Amino acid sequence: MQAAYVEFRLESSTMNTREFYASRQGTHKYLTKEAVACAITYSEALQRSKKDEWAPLVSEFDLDCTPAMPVDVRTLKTVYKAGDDPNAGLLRYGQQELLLPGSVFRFAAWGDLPLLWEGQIFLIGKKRAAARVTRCVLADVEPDTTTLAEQVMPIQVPPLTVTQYGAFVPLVLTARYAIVQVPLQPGRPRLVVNGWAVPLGV
Amino acid sequence: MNLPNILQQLPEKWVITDLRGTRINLMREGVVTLVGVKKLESEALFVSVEGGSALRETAKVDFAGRERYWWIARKVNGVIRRVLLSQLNIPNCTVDEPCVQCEVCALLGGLNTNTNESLFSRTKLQDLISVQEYVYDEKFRVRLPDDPTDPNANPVPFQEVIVPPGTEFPFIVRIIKPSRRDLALFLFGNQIADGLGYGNYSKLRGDATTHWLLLANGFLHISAHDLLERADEQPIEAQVAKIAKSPVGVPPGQVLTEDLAMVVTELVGSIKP
Repeated sequence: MQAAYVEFRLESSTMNTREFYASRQGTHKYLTKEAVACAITYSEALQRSKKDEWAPLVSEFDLDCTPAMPVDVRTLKTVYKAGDDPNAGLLRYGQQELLLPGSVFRFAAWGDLPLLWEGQIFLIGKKRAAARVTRCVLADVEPDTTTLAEQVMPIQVPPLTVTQYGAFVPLVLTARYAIVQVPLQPGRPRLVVNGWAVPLGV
Repeated sequence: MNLPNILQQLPEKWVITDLRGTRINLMREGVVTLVGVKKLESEALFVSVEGGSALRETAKVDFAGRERYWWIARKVNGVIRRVLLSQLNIPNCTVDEPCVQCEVCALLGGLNTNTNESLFSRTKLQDLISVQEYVYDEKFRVRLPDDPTDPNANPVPFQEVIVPPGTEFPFIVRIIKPSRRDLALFLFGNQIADGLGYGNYSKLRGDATTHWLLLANGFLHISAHDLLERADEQPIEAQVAKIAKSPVGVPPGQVLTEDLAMVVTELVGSIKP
């Protein structure tokens, strides 16, 4: 199976909305695996319905990947003003925390991978910020239960399945997904790419 | 219109129903990449961070080796949307309540919170990050009272950190699933928006000009970070000219540079307000 270890740098600001409350929008420092998969396959839905927000996150891709984890990520709370009517729409005036251009992330992907290379540009996150691949290591890997690695990638799982892991550190918890760090316990399937282990499903 | 082949290949225009449906692939449906340099012709203030007391300042970002002025893309997008809505006299569509039915919403996207309909923006502007280094230059200014003869009215002092005129920004735009009309609308909106001005108090400042350098019928893999990092050794214009000779991600013969100004004029002229 082909796997890739990728680092990328934002060329424009973006966010992965955390809270949206009292005219404040915050951002997680992780980008979801759906955002990563859409970005590297250049796929996009032109029209959305509000119902989609509550639909389960089902993989529509021939690949799997980790969420994008922060390597060197900076954020800034910016002031936001939109529109003329303060009572219309969503965020009209308030604070919006953005992931800044120049922020660096990493992820791993495996399966039927699209072309990935250093220098590649893709669009990712809210408003689809451009991002440039700064490091890309491709490898043929076979998942097993024994290979060791010094570093373990966080994984994204449905929130209700997180307790199936014997131990985990929650990094991001939302109603739709959880990003957790799980240890490489004996017997747990994993793949290793560029020295990073990715724990696979329980 | 007498347009080059690479634009003749694009569909003439989309109707809103052409943009409904399922997930699309950008590489199959097509992308047009525009690269230019936006230059401020007068000072500008892009208030992005809350300053203390009476201080307002333009945001800065540490990018490509130095601190630079940071002009968030939505501040350009918003002006272009207002220009298009007003110039094209689009009925029942405002910035507060996008109709999600008109050609402006089709190009710039929209979310109608009454109907919960939303349309993806097919125009992707990258944030504008300056070539020149950020300089913290606090200007002390005074707002005069509306009635200077009123003995009880006093001038109000305030401070601003503005972006000086002449500051240049690489401007990278991608239009997804483009039509010729989309391209013309964007260029038309951008040209008028440049004249109207961006940012705070655009009645008096924030004017810009856009010097378009390249148009590619394809998803051009071009990095603002790389352009800025090398800007000390080679001007942006020269770097883009070099990229145009061997563009990554764009089929041969699908890049326009030399006749671009004429093509832009023709496309802009095709929009009849």
